[in-house]
Amino acid sequence: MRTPSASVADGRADRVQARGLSWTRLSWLQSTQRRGAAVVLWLCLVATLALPALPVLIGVSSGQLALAQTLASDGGLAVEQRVSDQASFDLFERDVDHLVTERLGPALVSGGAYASAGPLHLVLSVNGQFPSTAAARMGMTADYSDSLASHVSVVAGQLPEDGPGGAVAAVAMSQATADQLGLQLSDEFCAELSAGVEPAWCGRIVGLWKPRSSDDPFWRWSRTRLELTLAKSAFFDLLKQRRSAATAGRVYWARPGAIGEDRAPTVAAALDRVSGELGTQSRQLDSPLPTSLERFDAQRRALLSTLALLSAGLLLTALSATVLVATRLLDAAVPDRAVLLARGWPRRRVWGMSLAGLAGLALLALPVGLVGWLLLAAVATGWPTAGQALRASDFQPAGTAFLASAVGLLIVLPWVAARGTSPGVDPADLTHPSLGTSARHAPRRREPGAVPIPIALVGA
Amino acid sequence: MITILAGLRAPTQGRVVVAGWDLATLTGSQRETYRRRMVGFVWQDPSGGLLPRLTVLQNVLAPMLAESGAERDRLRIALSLLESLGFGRRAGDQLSQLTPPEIRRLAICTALANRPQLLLADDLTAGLDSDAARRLVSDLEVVLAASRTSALIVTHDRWVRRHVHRIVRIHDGLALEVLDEPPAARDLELAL
Repeated sequence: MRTPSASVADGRADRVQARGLSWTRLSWLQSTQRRGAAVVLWLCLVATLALPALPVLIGVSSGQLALAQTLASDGGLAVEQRVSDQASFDLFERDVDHLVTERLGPALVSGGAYASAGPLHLVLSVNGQFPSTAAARMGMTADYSDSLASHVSVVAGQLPEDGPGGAVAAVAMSQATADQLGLQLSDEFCAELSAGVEPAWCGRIVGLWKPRSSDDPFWRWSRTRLELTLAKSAFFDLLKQRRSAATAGRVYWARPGAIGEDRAPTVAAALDRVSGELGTQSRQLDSPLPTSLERFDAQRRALLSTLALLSAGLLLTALSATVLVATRLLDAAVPDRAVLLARGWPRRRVWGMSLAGLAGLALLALPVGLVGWLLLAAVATGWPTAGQALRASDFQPAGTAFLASAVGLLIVLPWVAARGTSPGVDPADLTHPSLGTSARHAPRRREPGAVPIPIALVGA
Repeated sequence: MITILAGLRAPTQGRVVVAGWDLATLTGSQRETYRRRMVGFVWQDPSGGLLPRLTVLQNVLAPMLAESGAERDRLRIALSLLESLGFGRRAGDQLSQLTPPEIRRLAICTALANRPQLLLADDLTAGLDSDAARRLVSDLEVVLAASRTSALIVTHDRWVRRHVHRIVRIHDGLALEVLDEPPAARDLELAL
């Protein structure tokens, strides 16, 4: 007859160590006993972690695109004032720069200053001849721009340089204007300073230019017509001769990186304040930017609200699916729990083991969910740039559908969970005489803990 | 009655006292402790008390995980039990590889895993041929003697009486006869 022998067992203990059992291993075995359901649960967990971020990421990305589009179309402003001479022009430039820099900081970047006077009435003569074109008698403006060189390509000659001028002013004009007037490089012309007054001002064309790019916002925001472009000193000499004031202007462009979607309303408010301050100084701020930024902000908020709803719908849907599958897995382990309870395991330890198994699956899903989140972030960042910025209305049907499905699931879930939730964990079931003492076939009785836990999870 | 003794059900009336544990007045937590430390139970269908996805060894280890303890000690006890009931080289087998008599032997190992004071076996020899049943009872007797464990066996096989110290004949739930056979039952108090 054999006798239990510790020494015999000791000899084999090391050999079978790997096949032993720990609380953790038992927990894992229990949670993965239905491999299909475990994989589905794992996928649900990954989806729960990663999917709800998608709409939010799309919203953020779309917001950036919408802001860029807003600033590209409406992102400039011009401040104008009447000036009588160069000193008042310089003062205007300094004051406006100081105010704008102080109030708006890096949100705006300077686009240069300009001055414009006119109309001058051409043309009594061109090179001593009367031109034949009908346009020759048009009123034209004389202009100065301190940043012209950076926005044009010189076609012929050069741009007028500042410095003491002679009796004939050096003038540049666009090739298109020259063609319209029938003028060429080096042509001289004279103009009336006021209608009906003897011509007292003459110029010579020293340069012809054309815009470098039609997309250059300079052409949208500079209010000068840049018909007869003069150097600064020549322009103010003309102004002195003409004894009239000119319109001076300063242009600024919004800097997208410095404004950002979140700062849009702040910048809009600051622009409104600057506009008010300039108004009290007989200066005028002309820009659609504050209105555009406010409109952008309103649209962005609407989009984010809709996407947040969509995100919540996705989260609830994924969470509901997770809870349903988790409930199924917990159900599958009911007979095992009954056995352990019958063997004297404390109920709390039994449940702890079941839930720890699910937590293990969740832990494994975490890094994958994170990677998924990053992938979605990459996709979401690229998506809106391919087309137009998204609007709230683009997502309303999907958001409504997801929310409705999530609410539907929430309504159905308790019923499904209750129906699916299995035999209660009662060790006495193991001894049911009519059932061959198997809890695996025991009558289905509601497990008191299994339904509230998932419902509470969804509620949370 | 045996499920009441096993602490699986609470008595609805009367008094049941096992080794000082009044089973009618136990709290849930006390009942768990009682099941864990005082009794080991072998079900009529022994597979009912086993975990089908675990190996033979793991099934014996599972009840021990209810309390903390050194893994090596648990392993030593489990292997010793398995050795004594004939599973020397089959600790890693799956339950599907076991015959019905082996399943019953494993159920006994599992019931004895936590070294209870009392082993309860419901219809221990049911479904076994007489040879297998006799070998089982004989081996069990040795194991119980070595571990100083008392046993209460419900059986319809009259030959089992040759291996026990006290017989309670029950008919329709009533104890008709109590026969003491020397040596007398050990220090187990059983009051019905």
